[in-house]
Amino acid sequence: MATAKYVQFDKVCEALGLKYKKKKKGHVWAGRSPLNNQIVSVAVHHNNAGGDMATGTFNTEIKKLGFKNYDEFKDFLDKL
Amino acid sequence: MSSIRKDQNQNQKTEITKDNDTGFARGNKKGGCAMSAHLAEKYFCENTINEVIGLKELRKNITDVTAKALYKFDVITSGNVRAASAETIEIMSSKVLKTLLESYSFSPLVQFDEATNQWEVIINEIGVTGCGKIREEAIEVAIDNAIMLMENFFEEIELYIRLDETKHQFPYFLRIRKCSSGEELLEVLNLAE
Repeated sequence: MATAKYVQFDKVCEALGLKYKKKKKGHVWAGRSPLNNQIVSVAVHHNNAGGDMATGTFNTEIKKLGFKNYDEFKDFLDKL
Repeated sequence: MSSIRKDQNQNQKTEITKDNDTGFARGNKKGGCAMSAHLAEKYFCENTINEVIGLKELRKNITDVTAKALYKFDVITSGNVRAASAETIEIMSSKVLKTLLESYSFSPLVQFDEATNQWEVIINEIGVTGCGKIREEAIEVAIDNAIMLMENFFEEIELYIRLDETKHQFPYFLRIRKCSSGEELLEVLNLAE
């Protein structure tokens, strides 16, 4: 399954140096990704925390962070 | 002061009105229009080139300015007219703003993901996603996420408005911010049934 859990996604966002912002219904990761040097912001809802990211959602979010595909994301995650 | 003139191209009468009655200062008064007098007359230079109302004039005529914006759907520019490169503000009715923002529409993708056995919503215009066991939950999560990202956008607006990668999202987030109810937000995001 070419996706990940939200907790793993959170771990990657933290490792990329994005800022954690607590919100009423979840949290937001915001800042400049060192992978593509772009400003990104990603919202993670309380309801989704701990669960699997749907495939389209996962691909959308990792591309924002600057990963080309699942393998690149997985390699990065495995090194943490 | 007003006058009636005949437009040669359209062969119809057009009323040209100058705002002498309110006495607004015109920012382009001295040499603002480079066209010849003939061309200026032909193309209604005085009426089409934006005028800047000084802040002092704005304070003095706030009732008239508000009425112009509300009832004549005018968009009034104000700022420090003495400073050549000063920033200005626009005063417009909420209806005009709403009309302008309507061209920034959302095309959400709502689909079932077989791999994880759940629904997902993706709104590419603002990079919002949301997942849920049922379709309605995914929509609800996507709406909450859109609100969280909108809040974040306006918290960091001074940075985001300057960057190419984020400034294009401004009208979309403003559209979300201007929603006054959950139903309106559903309509705006094109997620209503």
